[in-house]
Amino acid sequence: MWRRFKYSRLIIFFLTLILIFSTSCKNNLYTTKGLYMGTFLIVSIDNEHKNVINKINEEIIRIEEKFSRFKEESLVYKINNEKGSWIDVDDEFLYVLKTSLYLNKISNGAFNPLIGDIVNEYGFYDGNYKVPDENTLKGLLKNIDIKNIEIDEKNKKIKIENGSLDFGGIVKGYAVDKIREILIENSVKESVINLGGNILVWGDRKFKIGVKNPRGDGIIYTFELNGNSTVSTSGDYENFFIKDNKRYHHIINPENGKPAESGLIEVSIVSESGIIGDGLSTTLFILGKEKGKELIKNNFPNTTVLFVDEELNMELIK
Amino acid sequence: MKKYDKILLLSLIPFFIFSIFYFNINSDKKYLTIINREGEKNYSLLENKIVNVKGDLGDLKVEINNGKARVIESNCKEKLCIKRGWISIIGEYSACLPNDVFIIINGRSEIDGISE
Repeated sequence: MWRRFKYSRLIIFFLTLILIFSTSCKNNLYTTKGLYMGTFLIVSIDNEHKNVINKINEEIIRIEEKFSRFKEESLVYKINNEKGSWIDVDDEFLYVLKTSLYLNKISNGAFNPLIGDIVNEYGFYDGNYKVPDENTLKGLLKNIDIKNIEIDEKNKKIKIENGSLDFGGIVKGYAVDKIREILIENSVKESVINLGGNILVWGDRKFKIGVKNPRGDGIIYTFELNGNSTVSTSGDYENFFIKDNKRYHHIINPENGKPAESGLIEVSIVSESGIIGDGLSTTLFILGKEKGKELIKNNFPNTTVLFVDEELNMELIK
Repeated sequence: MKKYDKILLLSLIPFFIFSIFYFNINSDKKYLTIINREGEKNYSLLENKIVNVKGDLGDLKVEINNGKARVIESNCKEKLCIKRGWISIIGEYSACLPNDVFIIINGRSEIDGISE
């Protein structure tokens, strides 16, 4: 009967092609989910490198233990609770701090790592929500001048006189960058990392990343990305409360100590650098569309930005 | 046709059938996964129901309705999980961090992840 198959090689060739096509479409990655750094972590990784997940989890725990505001053993906790004292830090801490200060500089203060006390005053850390009165805000605003941060680079020490550090606007992006280092070290072929909405796509194919609809379920936009890209998003829906029909969200404008009202309700950044992307999504949310575009044009011309305004109008710049 | 061609063809056919079957049954199917300290459990999104989930601070209630899911009751202070509202598409999630509970729509999707 085999003689009937005149074109057997051709059949085998096409069957093989179909097989390869169908399996490649399925994009088979092993996925784990967990809660870390006060948020969730979804790791999808090619089956060959499942063992790398443990290293990723350990790295996230390590970063959390250094940069958390709430863990008593963390450097941030120590610095915030021993104001006026020089605290020993390390190169990694200085890198994150200096990146924050760089974003502060190029945004004319819109990104501020000393905003912690004001965020706390609204109850965004513990859920005891309240609207601070003007006098309280005025007092706290005096403390967030970044001149309150003193750095002794030579001896790797820092001191803050007032205000309290909060790296929440930058550290998840930094963690994503560190995860990328692990993927490289372990020769991981394909992976998608999602740390609290900060995403890293890794691999030799096109990836599709959705951006959450800020006013409902589902997504509002889809980015098509090459491997080795990160996506960071900031929105007024992440942590908020409603009082007297007004939405108070957690992204505070350091100019007045109030939730930013720039006309934007969501900003997404596509960047090669996780730490910059994460910091920029917060910064541009506070600055608004026009100032945000200017900042991108002058400093990060290769960055893609999606702006979503209160009417859910979208504008993409790249 | 040579002997090795036959062997190759015969060995490819089961893979071929399996891959087509596997691809078809898994596409466009979505389900809800709820993760807490006790582990991970999957729920059909076709059956409307209320699921009680054990959290660190107490029980949460998750509503499944019409292919969507949401947290409707939680004793956490922030209630961010409730404010989050419905999740409906594959990859969408909601978390109650104080309770250490995470819900996500799972399945095969064109979308590799959702940024928020």
